[in-house]
Amino acid sequence: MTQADDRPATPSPDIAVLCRARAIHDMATLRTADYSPGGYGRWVIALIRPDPGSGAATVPGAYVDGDTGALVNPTQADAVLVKKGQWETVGTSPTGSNRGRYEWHEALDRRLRTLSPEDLYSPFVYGGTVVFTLTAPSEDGEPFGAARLLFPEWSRSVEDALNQAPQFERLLTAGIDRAGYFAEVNALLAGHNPLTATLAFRHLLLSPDATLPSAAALLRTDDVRKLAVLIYLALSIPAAAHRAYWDEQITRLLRDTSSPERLLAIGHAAFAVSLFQTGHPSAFASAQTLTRALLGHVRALQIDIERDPAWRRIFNAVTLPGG
Amino acid sequence: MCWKSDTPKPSQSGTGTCPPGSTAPCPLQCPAMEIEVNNTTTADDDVVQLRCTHPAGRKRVACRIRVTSAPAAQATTVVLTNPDGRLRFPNAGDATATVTVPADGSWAAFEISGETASTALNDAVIEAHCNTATGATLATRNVTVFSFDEARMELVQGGNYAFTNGTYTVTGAHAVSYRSRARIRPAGVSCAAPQVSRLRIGIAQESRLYRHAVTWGNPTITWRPGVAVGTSVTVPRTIRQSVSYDPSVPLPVADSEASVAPLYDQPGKSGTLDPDSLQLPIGCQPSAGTASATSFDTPSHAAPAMAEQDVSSGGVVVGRVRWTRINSTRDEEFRAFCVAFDTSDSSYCALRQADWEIHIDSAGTATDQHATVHADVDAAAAPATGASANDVAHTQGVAAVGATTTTFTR
Repeated sequence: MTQADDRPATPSPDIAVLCRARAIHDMATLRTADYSPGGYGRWVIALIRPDPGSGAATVPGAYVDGDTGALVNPTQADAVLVKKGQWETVGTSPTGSNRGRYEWHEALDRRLRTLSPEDLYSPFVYGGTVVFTLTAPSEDGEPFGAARLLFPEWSRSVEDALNQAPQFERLLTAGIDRAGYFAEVNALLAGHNPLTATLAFRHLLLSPDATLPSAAALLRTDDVRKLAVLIYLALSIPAAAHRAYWDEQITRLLRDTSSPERLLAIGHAAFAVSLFQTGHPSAFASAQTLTRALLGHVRALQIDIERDPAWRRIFNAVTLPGG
Repeated sequence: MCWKSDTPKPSQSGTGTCPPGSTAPCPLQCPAMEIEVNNTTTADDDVVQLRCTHPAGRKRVACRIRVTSAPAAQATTVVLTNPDGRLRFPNAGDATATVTVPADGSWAAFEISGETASTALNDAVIEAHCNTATGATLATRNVTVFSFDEARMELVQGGNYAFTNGTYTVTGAHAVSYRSRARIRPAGVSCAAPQVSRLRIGIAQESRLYRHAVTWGNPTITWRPGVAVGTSVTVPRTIRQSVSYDPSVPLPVADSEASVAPLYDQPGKSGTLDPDSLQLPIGCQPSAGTASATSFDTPSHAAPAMAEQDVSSGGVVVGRVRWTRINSTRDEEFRAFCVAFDTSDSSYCALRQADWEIHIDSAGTATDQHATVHADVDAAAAPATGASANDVAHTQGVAAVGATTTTFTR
């Protein structure tokens, strides 16, 4: 007789790397408009605690006849993927909702043409801190809108950024000709809120000001999570005109970095781009090039990459044919 | 009969003569005429695409002919011919065409299609003859039948499949990458001609086989509270979910997506995979470019790490059984095509084809679990069209594997 372990499993190192990659992607691509009062709905930052069976396949309505050992499916239902658990607010929330449960099913017979971040790491299966809006349930029962995984350490920063979103968006859409524009953008870049710095950095990367020295200087941040998010953006966004500039900035950063934690942050960012930017050939190629350069640099510094499974996962792709 | 010498004569270019004193229009005399291809005066667009074999079809180009010095005495019967055999008017059996050209100078329409490829610019000739195919030549017009050569549909094997949480996929790479290209011939054909400028080289794909399975084993049980000690249940030791095309689905099926159909991929659409999935033909690219249309594919499926099901005893649910994933398999076969794609009507002509397949098992050697690609050859059939592989009916089921069971006793 074997009892099932009802405790949520400790995430494997592989899952931890994927969790980090998803958080990097989600913070880099977050749009405050998705959470504004005039947008989807009201937002919540919550800790997701999946139930032990979340992420399991099951056939609704079917059961095992324990007397015969037969699998009985009275309605000939198809197998589905179950996501279920609890959520509890972290910090304050404009919705006033503090906790709740979730459960929905997803089809399991999907032939996936492309993968979403949720397919590669789901906080609703493995846990995490998520910002989302509460919406009417979708067709499969999911009640969350604009769900994005964030670094738990960024909960307060995300909350502050969303509360200030209207002023922030007005600044960034005002145009470079407005008096004080550069001073205010530089203030955001240098500020203590890593998410608003990220949003300002992304805004600059999308504009003709992409080569502002203050933007490049941001890569020298000591915050390894912020560094990973900024590297992700610098690999993903630049158009052809600026790509060589940002590839060079990242190369210089790599050359000047010997801290294993910062190097790992660079690796996480490149891995996240390889994971989520497969449809962006130049970004994908830049990430692959960076990962190979990182491998050489790490070996030259004699950092023991075998001790940390994250390094193996990050470097795995570049050793594969066609990767 | 011919016109009397004191009666104004209509314009004529026929070589026949009529007896003096005739009082009726001479049937051997036809007025001079002019021909336009693509219904324009410019010669740059006097081009027509070579007929397609896969699928069979002909691109038609609108043409017209008229009397140059109207009014003529009467409407003229004109027989259009093409001595070099590179054209048709416009169907396969239409080596010639008979057109009635109005006397008042208005146009008479006809169509051409490309039967045989030109080897040089303007080496196909439309001739307009008076009354019969061997009658006097009233007008000629040169045409180019353009085609494609050096077509390639290259496949590049990508990374290895592995589990990424609950998905069986390739991460940090693609399963396979595509490069599709072709060169327009003859050299110097005008890329600005509408018949050419709307064409792109792209990628189509069809699927001939699809099935995947996920197998779970090593069951454990969580008893419901209050279940009596000594209660026993028997459960399958191993279960499997199997998914495949429904037997009713005719194969092969198109591998596409609604926004990019009928191709496998197109840029600028909601379902775009690669922004460079369409390219101008080589010979029309800026700066003598030779870029290929590119895309990629990483067929994936959900392979949850666990499966769960309620278990009953005496008709009452007494617990929940959990099985853990043992392995997942995937078998899929594809054919990719290099195609010349007409952006004006979404039609295409297949030029080259290449096969690739996935026969993978997560329980096998990790470095063996990847796509297998094959060299390209000339297209031998038209790509499948219609409902896409992701939208056709699938059959799926979950069943016990074998008769081995496990018994749990509370």
